Amino acid sequence: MKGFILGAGVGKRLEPLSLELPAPMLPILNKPLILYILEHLKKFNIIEIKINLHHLPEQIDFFLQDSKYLDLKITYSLEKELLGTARAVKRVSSFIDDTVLIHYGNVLANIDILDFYNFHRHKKSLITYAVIQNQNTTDIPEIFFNHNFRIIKKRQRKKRVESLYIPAGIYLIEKEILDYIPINKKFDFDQELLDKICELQIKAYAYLVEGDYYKIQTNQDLLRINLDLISKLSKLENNLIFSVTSSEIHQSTLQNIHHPIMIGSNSVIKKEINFGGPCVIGNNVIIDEGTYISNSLILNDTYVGKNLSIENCIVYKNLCINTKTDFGVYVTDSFIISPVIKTSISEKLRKLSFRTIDIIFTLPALIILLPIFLLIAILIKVDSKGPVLYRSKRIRSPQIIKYGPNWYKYEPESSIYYYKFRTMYFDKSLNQIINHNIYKEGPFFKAKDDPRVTRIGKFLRKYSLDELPLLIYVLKGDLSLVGLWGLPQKEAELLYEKGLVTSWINIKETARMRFKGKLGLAGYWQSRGRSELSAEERIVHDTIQSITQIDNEQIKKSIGEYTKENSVKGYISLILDTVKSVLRGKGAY
Amino acid sequence: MNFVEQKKGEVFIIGINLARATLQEAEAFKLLLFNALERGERKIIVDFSQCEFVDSTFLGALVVGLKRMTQVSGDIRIVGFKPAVRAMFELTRMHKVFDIYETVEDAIASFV
Repeated sequence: MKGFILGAGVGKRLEPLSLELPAPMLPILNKPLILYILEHLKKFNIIEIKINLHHLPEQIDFFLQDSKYLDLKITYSLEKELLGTARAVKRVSSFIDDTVLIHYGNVLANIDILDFYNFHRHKKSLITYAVIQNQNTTDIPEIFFNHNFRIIKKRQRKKRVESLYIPAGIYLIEKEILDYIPINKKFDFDQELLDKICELQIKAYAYLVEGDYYKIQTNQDLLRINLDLISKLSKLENNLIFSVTSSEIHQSTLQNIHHPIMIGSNSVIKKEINFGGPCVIGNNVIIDEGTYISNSLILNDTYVGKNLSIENCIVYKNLCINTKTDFGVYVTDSFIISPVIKTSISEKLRKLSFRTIDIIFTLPALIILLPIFLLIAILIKVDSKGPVLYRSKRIRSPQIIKYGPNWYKYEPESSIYYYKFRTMYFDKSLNQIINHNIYKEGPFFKAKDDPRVTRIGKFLRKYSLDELPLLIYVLKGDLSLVGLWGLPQKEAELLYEKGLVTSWINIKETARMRFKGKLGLAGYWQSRGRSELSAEERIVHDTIQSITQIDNEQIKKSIGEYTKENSVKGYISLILDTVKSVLRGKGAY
Repeated sequence: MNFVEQKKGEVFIIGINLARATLQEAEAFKLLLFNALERGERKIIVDFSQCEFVDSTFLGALVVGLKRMTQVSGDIRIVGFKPAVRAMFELTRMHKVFDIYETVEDAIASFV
């Protein structure tokens, strides 16, 4: 039998945590939920498994690449849009041959899959819904079945409970059921398909789940499950501290632990930490001196600062969610909470060598260019009125204020000011006559035969001579030789907010990735045609360049040949390619 | 043959017969897409199952092709990812730009 895990959901009710982690990656006692599901499926000999992905897919994909010890055959279905659980299965019809088990990615159930399967086969069911008893939750579908367990009715529960049984998010299906699922239309197992089953009297049965069952839909759910399980484990094993040898706990803290605590690998718990209730602390976590923590969950790669008081919270990197008020904030002060980033020695060396190359290239270049700078300065002065240099503001990443009903995020703008040679007239009235943006649509702007450009400016721009002063900023370390071309403020903000203004395709999220990268002079876009390329091509070049720069070992391992681009050889060849392209004067106006 | 062309019913399938799809072939690929569009093809599948690596220029060409195709109510759907190419689509969020399937069969079935 094959398995299909529904891992695509965006986890709206789990926000803001789900903005950082997809639901299947949420940790239960320091192990991602999806691992429990996969292990459970494997126990029942389900080896061939497909997972549908949409929201933060790389996190699940990369994690499972590292979990090869499971010895499963895992494939993925990447979804462009979320159109429902049943449709997710329909779109991989060729995967469905015999009976297939479908399992929600946010459900942890100790279900006897063999018994479930036997029941399903015995009933000759086309689809069997695992159901659980629930009388507390509202706004969910209730299932009604007859003495034979055949599903006969579905009702959306508002307040009143009529049937105790609701779908558990686990199903066994036969290929024939796919005939009832349309394509290109939202279709859920628990809504549209149930309606159709009742309407057309399709052979569908309900199977009652016995044993432990958890569904993680909110941050409270996640905290409660973790604390329940650590308390249970503590009673069972008659032990308070569950830690691994790679983690360190200070003696003064250790003597003072009276509640069940789990600590993951490579974590450091410093002195005089006071645990006021059960806690689960992840891998690669640092908890600094004198802090009080109670009934909380500290996820992987998180630093928790000194003398804080944390109660009923989930903390992840720079995000803190209070589960009592159900409100999450991103903290910008890294003394309070912040991500723990461990940079490998090879990565530090690589960065150092890039910096060395920057200096080796720019220092002699600037000395040689000095007389040319003087000449250019004189020409600009003679050609038109105004200063020689022009001050420009370029954005590394725009100011970000994002919020939802229960969370708030603020990131200050990161920008750089630099001087370039002036290539335009200082006459503002000329602004009104430029109407021919070569990109046709915003936010990028570039005009050919721009009337604002001076005579000498035209020449300077053609060979990018106006930008030569930027080498000074490279020497200073504000820019690097290889990096993304800095956008003016308006362009950056528009690109972040709207993507391409009038584009038909949904490229906004792709475009946003560029703001993770460093700014610099040479790059893919700069060396491959610049303004001769369309806005879409520019976005793809910049985004990919930005991704190759991200300091993350997993990403570096996963992007194949692009990993090589982030080497000294790749660095130098991009510089040379850009110089060649600039000398040809292609795509520069 | 860098690109293997095939027609199945109304669907035009382009197989990328390259281990590395990069800027050398990107221009030819873009042209192939534009020509298909001009011929009236509206349902296109690009099969990457032979590709170990796709560079930014080639992906750029694919996006430009998609943009033109959607302007005339057509679509380009993608099939067959090796891990590094899939990682690239996931990280760049291009999986939200393109409709991606694992098999040609499923991609054809998606065009109705």
